[in-house]
Amino acid sequence: MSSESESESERNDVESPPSLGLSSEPKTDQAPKSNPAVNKTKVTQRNLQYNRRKWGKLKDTAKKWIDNQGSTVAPFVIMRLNKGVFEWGGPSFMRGFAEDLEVIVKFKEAAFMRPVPFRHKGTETKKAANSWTGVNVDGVDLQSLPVASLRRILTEICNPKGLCGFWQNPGNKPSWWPSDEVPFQSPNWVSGGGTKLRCHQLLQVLEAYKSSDGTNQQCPGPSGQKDQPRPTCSSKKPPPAPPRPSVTDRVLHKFKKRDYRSCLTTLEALSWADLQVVCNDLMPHVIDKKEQINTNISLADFPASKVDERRSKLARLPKNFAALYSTGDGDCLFHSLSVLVNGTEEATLFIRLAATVYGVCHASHYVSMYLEECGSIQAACAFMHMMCAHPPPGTSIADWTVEEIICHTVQDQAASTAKIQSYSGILQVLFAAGFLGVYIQQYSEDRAPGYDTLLNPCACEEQDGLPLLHVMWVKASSSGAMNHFVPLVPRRAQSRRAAHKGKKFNLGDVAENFCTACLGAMNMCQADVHYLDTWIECDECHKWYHCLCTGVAHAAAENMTFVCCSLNCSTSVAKLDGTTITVGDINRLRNGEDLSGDAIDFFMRHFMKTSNGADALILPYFIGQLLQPNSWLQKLPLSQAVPRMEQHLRTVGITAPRIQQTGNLLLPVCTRNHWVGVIVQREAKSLLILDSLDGFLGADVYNSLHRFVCRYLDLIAHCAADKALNEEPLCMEAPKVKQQDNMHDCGVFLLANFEAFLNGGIDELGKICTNGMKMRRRLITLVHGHSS
Amino acid sequence: MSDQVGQDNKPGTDCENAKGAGSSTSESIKIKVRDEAGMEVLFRVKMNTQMRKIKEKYCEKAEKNITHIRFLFDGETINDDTTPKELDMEPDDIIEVVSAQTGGHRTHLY
Repeated sequence: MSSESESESERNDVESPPSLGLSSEPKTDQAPKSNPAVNKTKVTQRNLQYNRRKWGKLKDTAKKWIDNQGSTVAPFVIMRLNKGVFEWGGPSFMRGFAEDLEVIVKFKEAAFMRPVPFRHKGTETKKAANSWTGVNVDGVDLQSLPVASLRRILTEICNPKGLCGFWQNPGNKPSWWPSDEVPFQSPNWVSGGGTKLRCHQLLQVLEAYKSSDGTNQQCPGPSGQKDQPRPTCSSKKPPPAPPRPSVTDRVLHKFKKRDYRSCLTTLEALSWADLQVVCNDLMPHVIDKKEQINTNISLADFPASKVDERRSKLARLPKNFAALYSTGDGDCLFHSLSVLVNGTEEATLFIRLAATVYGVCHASHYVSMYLEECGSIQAACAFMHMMCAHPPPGTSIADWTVEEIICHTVQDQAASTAKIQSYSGILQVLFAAGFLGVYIQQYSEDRAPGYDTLLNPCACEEQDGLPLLHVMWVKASSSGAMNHFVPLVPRRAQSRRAAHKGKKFNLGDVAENFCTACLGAMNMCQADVHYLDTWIECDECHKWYHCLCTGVAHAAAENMTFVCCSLNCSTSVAKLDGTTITVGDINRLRNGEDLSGDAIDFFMRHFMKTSNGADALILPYFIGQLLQPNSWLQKLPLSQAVPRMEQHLRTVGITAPRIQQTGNLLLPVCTRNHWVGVIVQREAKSLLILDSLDGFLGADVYNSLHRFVCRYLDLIAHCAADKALNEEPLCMEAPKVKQQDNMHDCGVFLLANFEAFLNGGIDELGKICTNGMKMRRRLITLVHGHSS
Repeated sequence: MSDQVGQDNKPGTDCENAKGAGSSTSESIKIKVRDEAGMEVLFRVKMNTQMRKIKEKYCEKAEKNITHIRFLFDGETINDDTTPKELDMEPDDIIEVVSAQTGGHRTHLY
């Protein structure tokens, strides 16, 4: 669980006291609560002091910035500290504010002084603990922090995992601790008779931590983004002084005891340099244990219960082969190989260990092999995506060279092979093939380039006359991506035929044959759609896309400007009833970004068309902008507002009687950068607010929405000829709708909700079963139907 | 309330868009661009000037960001590559300006 605190700043876009946006209690989406057992008065005092000093400063900075901007769009930004690393979220025009150094420092000071604890006890996952990157106290004025915060920061630095008995063990003392002056003890309390650490002592320790660049024996991770080490290709030469010679002995000892699980756990925690030292020592022992592989196995060697009858009928299975079961727990590749080599899944862990060792030892060979194949940055990035490697958290690979990207990918994958029950990719198959000294022929259930190739051992080994094993990539469930391996065995024993050198895995082909949108998320490849063969190229970075994945019509693809990475590209892709959707809008959809009002309007019209004549009227999103307190709707007196309303209706292209005679009015409203749906039901006299992020906006925003809608309808009634249809007060409801699990899918969920309402009324709202990604993919496909 | 700014396009500034030297090229009309607060800017445009040019000029005058605004005419969003002629504009027609909105937060790692 990440520790976080957020700050919000906003212009008065709703009628509410200005203190609302910068609420005194920092809001979090995970809502950490302070421990109720803590003395209440103490907490209140600390709260008061905290608010007055640091939070107030941040508030002032935000206000100043807003006054200088004078923008009409309501600014809104979320900032948080995630394990000491500063993150922010919000619209891109807020970048100037959020990345201002002064703001960041002020925010960090405020966050460090927050009266709630940094971390919840007991919710820490193993993964989060591993990705610890150290507390970054750069630029924070330690002197001005209260003692309580200093204690907390020090605890956070030394004992990030909250281990029990940490402080009692002198072996845990970090190297930078100023040992002579300050005793090594918990900054929070003291057991048995000693004295608590004083303020000046705490400062001394923290200064020592700062001057030691924040590195720590317990947390060998990099401390900040700028210090991120880039992968280097000096992998042939291990560092001269092995830092921990005992690790190799420990691993060897466990290896001889056949405790492969502990070996892997130890290897998993090592840094790359250590891993190389250990693996080089382990290599001869692993090779010694390798057994002769029986190549003459056939279906007759296995009991009928092991045969996967359903998968044995798959269309892309090679002739005369049958598929066997393998346990699907993340180790499926190694289970499959173990079955093929040993007949049972007993050797799984050994093969995983051996593949790790082989991958680490031969990493430099693989890097040079792939370097030959990847000529461009684009190919290297494609390679990285294909191998499912990720850049180190917090860094951008924008300025990396091809060599660095490939080097990082291979090293990342070799190291992650040691993780028990983590999924395997092509590189893991390659490492296993290298260790076993076999060719591995891959087959894939779906047609996916790169997943049906022959993999051979590293180029430095014997290549001829090796046995051939067969594995197949399949889908674990009937829908979804290929995420499971099954072993394939011949139905009849074959005479040992000379294994031919097959087609080498050629990365250039993959980069060329892949749609970049599909590549980003493998399962996006829609193999069942016929017209995937029309392609479009980005004019700037020259990546290729299926037309379907971009929404662009085939006919238009040749002449239009298409820029895949610009969120503001205004080339229109499709039009529907006066609404237009642009390339930028689709890029937003594809990249998981926030949704623009134009896109919302476009899809609303589409759903209206496909809804079999629902009694509803779609109001465009910019009507919601009148919600702002400085708009004419709120400001003008009735006598002036009525003629202005008539003008407004002409602009929007809707007549007053039309609004009055329609049963349901649907209006998307964007407030505080969050989309909510507003539905006015005439007959039920109710106003529904569909909010996929409950508790984000608060009751006052709902109330001002209600006031606004009533005022709007009231003015409509005055404009209409028939005064008898005067509005009755609406009662406000917020029905339960499906909740988003992130901060950027509100627009997508709004569309899903409106679609459900148009198709089945209010009862359908609760029955939505989609997720953000699925819905985004579907929406892009819908555009394709309207593009011309 | 209304802030009238006359703007005369000098002859030749939008000639690059003129496809043919017909009679319609020289014909120009006055249109108003009005924002949410009621502020108006007056433009004299030729019938085949692309709306993108008017948008750019407007943003310059009103000090707005071009990616943050949309032009509306007769209830429809105006595309950048259309012309007043294609939209059947008449003298003294009013174009409404609305701000573009996006909703949802994306976390940027810093």
